[in-house]
Amino acid sequence: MRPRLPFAVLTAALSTALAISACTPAASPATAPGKPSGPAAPALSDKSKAEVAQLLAAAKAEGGSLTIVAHPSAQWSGWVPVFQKAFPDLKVEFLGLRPSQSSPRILSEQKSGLYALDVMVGPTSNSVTSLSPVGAFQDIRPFFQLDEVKDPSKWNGGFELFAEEKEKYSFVASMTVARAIIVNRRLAPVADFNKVEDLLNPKFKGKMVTYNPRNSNNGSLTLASIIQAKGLDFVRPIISDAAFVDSPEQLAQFVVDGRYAIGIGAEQETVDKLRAEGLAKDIEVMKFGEIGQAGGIAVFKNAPHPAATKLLVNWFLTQEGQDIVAREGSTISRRNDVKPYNGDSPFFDVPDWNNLDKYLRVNEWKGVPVVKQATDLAKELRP
Amino acid sequence: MSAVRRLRLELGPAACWLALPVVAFLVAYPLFLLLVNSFQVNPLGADTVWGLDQWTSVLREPSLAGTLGTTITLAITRQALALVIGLPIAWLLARTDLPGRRWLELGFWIAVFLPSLTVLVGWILLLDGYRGLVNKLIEAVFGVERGPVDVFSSWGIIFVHVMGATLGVKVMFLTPAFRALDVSLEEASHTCGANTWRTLLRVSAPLLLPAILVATLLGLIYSLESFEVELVLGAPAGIDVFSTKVYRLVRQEPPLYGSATALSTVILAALVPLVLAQQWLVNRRSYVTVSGRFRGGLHRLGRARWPLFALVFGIVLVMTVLPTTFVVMGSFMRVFGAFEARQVWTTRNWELVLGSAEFRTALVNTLVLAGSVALVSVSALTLLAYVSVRTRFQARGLLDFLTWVPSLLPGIVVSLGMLWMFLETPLFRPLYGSMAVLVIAVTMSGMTRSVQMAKASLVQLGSELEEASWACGATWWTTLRRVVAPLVAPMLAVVAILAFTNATRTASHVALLASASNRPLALYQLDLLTNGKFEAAAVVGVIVLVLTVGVALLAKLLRLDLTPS
Repeated sequence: MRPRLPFAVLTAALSTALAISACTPAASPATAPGKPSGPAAPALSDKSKAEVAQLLAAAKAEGGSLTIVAHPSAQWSGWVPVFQKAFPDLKVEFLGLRPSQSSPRILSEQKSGLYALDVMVGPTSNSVTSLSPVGAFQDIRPFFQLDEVKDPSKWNGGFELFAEEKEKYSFVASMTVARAIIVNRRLAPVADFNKVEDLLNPKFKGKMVTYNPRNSNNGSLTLASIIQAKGLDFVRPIISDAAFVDSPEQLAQFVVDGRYAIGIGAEQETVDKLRAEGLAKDIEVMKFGEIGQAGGIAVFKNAPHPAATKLLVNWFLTQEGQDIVAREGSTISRRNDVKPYNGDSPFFDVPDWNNLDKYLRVNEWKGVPVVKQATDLAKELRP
Repeated sequence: MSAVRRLRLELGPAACWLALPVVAFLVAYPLFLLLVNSFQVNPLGADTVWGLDQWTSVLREPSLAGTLGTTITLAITRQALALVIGLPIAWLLARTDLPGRRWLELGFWIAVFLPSLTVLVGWILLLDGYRGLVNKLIEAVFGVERGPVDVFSSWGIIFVHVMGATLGVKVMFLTPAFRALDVSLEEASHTCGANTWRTLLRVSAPLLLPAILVATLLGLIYSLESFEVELVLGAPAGIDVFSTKVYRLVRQEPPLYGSATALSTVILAALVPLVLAQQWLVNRRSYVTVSGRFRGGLHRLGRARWPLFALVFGIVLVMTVLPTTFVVMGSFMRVFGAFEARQVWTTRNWELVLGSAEFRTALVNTLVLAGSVALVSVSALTLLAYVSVRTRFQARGLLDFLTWVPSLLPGIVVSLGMLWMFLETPLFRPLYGSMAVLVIAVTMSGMTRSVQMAKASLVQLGSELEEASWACGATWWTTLRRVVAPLVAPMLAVVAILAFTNATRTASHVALLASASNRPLALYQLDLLTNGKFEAAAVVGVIVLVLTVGVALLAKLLRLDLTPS
């Protein structure tokens, strides 16, 4: 008996399905993740509104498109859907790329003469370490237009604050003090662990876990902060002794379970999620090992839509824009007329704006070498 | 046994010589670009300075030998275990009257389709040394302070792999191959006094050597590339393997792709001899089992029928039902695995995902991508396998070797080579940013598996079937379509389904190539994981599972199997 083989049927069906898919209207550009919008942001002044309208007209005349690159986490890209909604005539394409993806892709495209990206928003460390040194951006200052954007009195730490030492690429729009050391109080009571020196307490030998400090993450950033405060030799035994994990979820779970007493490099989302469900009751966030985390905006070299880029940069840096960015990402704007949206999370705090240098500013030019010390030490001690 | 007679290819050598440079370009050019870049000392985008720094930094690392040793030990152990367990299971499913064998076979397929990270979390829930349910049960029953099981160990890594895709792929490869065995060969063995086990070992298994070799070698290659399980289970236990080292190099700021390429080349150098050895072993004799006198048949198990069914069903339960339950359960939990939470269950994860425009876009993109990849894999890649096995094309050995190359480097490294290829090749540049680029990249990523699967089936075909067709006046194309394809249909179905599954799940090969409008589900799921939305990522995992199982069921519905007469 000849086996039945409806290959033709299968092939025809699949081909038809693909053809139908190909003929359907083009898929909408990916939108960034974001929470539902909350209360309305503070409105622009009349003068600003008029200028924004002019910028929008120029953007439409240019073609009405804009491509934004940002870290895909809600913290850095949660504002994008709100911006899209605010300017429905603008075709906004959002490309969510992690640092390991953004720099090879961006630099490869630019090297081959393809300039398809306009703006980058996110933590400035990737810009400072990989993109700015090879000139992937252009000076952002010509894009500032609105008076309420350029007014120095509106910005904590002064208006012109850039992540690079000399170049004016990555404008620092947000600065958050972040903490990443958690402790399980069932295993480490307050009397035994309440200051940074207690990290070397022999009681906690074999009881610490850290987010793998061989890479740049909250683990190495926190250790970098401790290096700055206490020196390299202080951190050596910590790195030598601690268990390494490669995900913050796993780190948080290990400490919550009691497998380890102390976790270095925890992330707020995971612990807060456990807390919200009545778990992680014994977990406390320590107030040492703090870091200053900058978030910024930069314009790519030869951005293909300069008018739309100008519109975005100015909207982004207004009170309205910064309020939305801070609210959607739970970050702290440098604008002093925007409230901090870090909620009650013990993982974050508002910086001392008059003394920013007391923090290790890990995403900026000063902090990057210290972070490298931490990662290099980790690779040396735990290859 | 005489060697398989090589068949004259009607298209002529010109077509084959045309295919060779195309395949060579697609697989070798990205590799070439990566190798060249690995000798560049400065970071990407900076001025070019040549040197060996990226190589020396990697090759002089003190832990390299230990890491490679751990890698090889883990890979060989799990492949050996999977083969020892998988071979008899495949035989039971294909050659006996085991009850429910078609559905049990589907169970092994599903194990391959399950999303690995979500399944892993399920195993952690069960086997964690501190909170695992198995340990809690042991502690309660035996009154011990702490149970003995800990998944964060070498054996934990091996167990999770074997109970997942490793064993599943072995069964997928070997079952159709067993099915294509002529029963007269086994009858002859029984007539000579050999029992069932001896016949399996001395007659059936040797005839399946190509399939066994390919399944083992492919399994070894994928073992060496796999890093998710090793990252999660190995890191806390201080276990490092080659793939986790590569992963961490790429995650540096700036990412060290040159060093990652250098490290990957070490494994490549070890694998190339294995590939060549496999080619030599397969080509030195005939493995024809399906000839003009082919007769299939089932072996009767007698009293062992139901006990064996219970055993195989138990394995399927552990491999498939249990992890699938966790995946589905996780998608309805507020915090994955937190049964002690205030409120355990919720539908908000499903609402978040299904209500997301980004998800709907990604789903459409994935259907187009996966469908296209499946079609290309079944057509173009099967033709490559046919040329390699059934023709006298002089460079067929080289062509076959080239089909192994895409698997010899990790996807996260190869993806950069492909990005450069698409940007710098005038032919491909206009396609950059389109779905076509993703189709090419994902097809290449699954090329080895697809071609080798098709080959394993084609070597079992006798040449007289095609010769009879030509003698009746059929063209090469008609013979391929009406004679060859029906006979290898089960394997083609597997090729299509695996290609489809691979396309729905692969993220590393498309992460650098996807544009804003063609991002597939795999990248959407990765973004959810990055945002700590593990439960929503489980929802996507369930949807992908439904998609792939749906395709597998469709294949079964269309009766794409060889029915023994």
